[in-house]
Amino acid sequence: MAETDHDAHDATVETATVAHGDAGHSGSFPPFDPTYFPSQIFWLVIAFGALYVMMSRVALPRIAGVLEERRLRIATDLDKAEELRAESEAAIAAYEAALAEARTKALAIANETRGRITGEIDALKAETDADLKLKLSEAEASIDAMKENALARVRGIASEAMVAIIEQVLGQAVDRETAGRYIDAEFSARR
Amino acid sequence: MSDQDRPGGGPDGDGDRLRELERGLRAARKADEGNKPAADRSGVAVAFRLSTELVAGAIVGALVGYGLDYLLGTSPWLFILCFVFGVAGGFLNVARAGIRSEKRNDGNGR
Amino acid sequence: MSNDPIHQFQIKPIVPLEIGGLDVSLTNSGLYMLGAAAALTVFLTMSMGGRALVPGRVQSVTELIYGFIADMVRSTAGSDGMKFFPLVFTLFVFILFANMVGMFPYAFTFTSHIVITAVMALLVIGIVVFYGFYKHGLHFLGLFVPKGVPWVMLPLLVPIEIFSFLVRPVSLSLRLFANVLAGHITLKVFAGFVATLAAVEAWWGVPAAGLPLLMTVALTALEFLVAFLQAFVFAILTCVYLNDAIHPGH
Repeated sequence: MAETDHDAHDATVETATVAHGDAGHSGSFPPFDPTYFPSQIFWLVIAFGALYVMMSRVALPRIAGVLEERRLRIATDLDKAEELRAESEAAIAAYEAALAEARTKALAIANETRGRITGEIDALKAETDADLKLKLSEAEASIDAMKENALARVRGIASEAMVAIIEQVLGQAVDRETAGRYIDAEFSARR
Repeated sequence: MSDQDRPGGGPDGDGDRLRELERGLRAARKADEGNKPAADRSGVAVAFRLSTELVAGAIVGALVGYGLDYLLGTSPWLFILCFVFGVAGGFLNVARAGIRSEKRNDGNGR
Repeated sequence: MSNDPIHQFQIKPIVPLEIGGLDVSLTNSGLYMLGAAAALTVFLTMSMGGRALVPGRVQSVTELIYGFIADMVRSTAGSDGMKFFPLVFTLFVFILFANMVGMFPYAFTFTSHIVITAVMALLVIGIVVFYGFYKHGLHFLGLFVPKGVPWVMLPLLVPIEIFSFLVRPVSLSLRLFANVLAGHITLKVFAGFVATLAAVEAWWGVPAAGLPLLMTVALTALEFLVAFLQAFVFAILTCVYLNDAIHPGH
């Protein structure tokens, strides 16, 4: 391309005829020169034919094989990944199901326990209440008895004191029984 | 890759990552199926082939017409007729190329 | 080497050979074709040598070309067209390699010879015709009868359809040939300007050579694009024409 011939002359497309020393050269425009047509066709058929055979028998099947292998490999890899993904999803689902089940179980147990404890507490309370009531009534009874007793003793002391006072003041003997009756009457009126 | 090293880990975080994986897988499969390099359908190529079609039509028409005239002795009528037909045939090839490239640009295959 | 832009297309015999009275000498062109076939076979086979599931850089290139062509065939000619995938693939890599190697200075570009492109185009059209008749019998001729057209129009449209079919091998071979040829000549002419201007014995000679130099650089980039595009166009048109043979109804 980059010729540096110093005696180069302006060459144009029109200067098609060239004087050449090559044998068998007719001097016409080479691409249209029929001298080498048979040779051109002959070698083209050989070269192209050989290339076609090599391509269709060796090169192309080989390339196709590699491409197909890769396509299959990618497809299987994708399938495998998909499978693993589905598996892990299933595992997560199972885990979540188990979690939910455990949660409900725990809730049930808690509820049951609460119910049982509430019952126990109620029973204990009732028992205690009954016990307390019994003790209260017993205490009331003993208080009543003690009150009765004390009153009786107060009446005795009061009637003796009354007899003594009357004897001292009036100098007159008083029957203890009568004094007791007065006291009783007085007590009853006050009560 | 343990869950402890990111906040909000645990099963829900894993679910997100799984969904992400699923999306990625689907995209990869689609890319794999569409893994056929598209031929260059540039208009340049079409434009290049139009140039010669008319010239070739004229040459073929002229040659066929000349040959028929020579054989049948009808000079110059078949030459003229075949020349016209030849150019028209070349033009038809050009028109077809145009239609074909338009169709292809529409993405309708051939 | 002279600065003549045509010189680069010159065919020179290397090993004289004659079969059945025809001169089939191994020429520089034939050598480049064999070299392309050998290099492509080695590259495309060895790059997959590792058969690595995660491809290296070289293997990626091979897989990219493979996927590119496979997608082209499938989208243009349908999955029935995949039986022609090796053909399209071979055509594409062969032309691409030839064009790319041709970008190197002093290299020979065999796609700049109309015989080569014509034989490849005729191979494609030959397969289309052969497979079309083999698969669909005379129904393949229905390709020339456009559907949904009033019958009065048919005497006009059928010849046009026939010519449009006849034009295909010509345009297919002409396009590749003309693009490569024109590109190489233009490049050479501009490179020649650089040399000519730089050789001028005046103060403005070397600076003035900068302009064509820039053009040469830009054209080289463009030619690389053309080298790929022409291989691509040849391959995709092969698919389009094969599609006609597989599904004759438009």
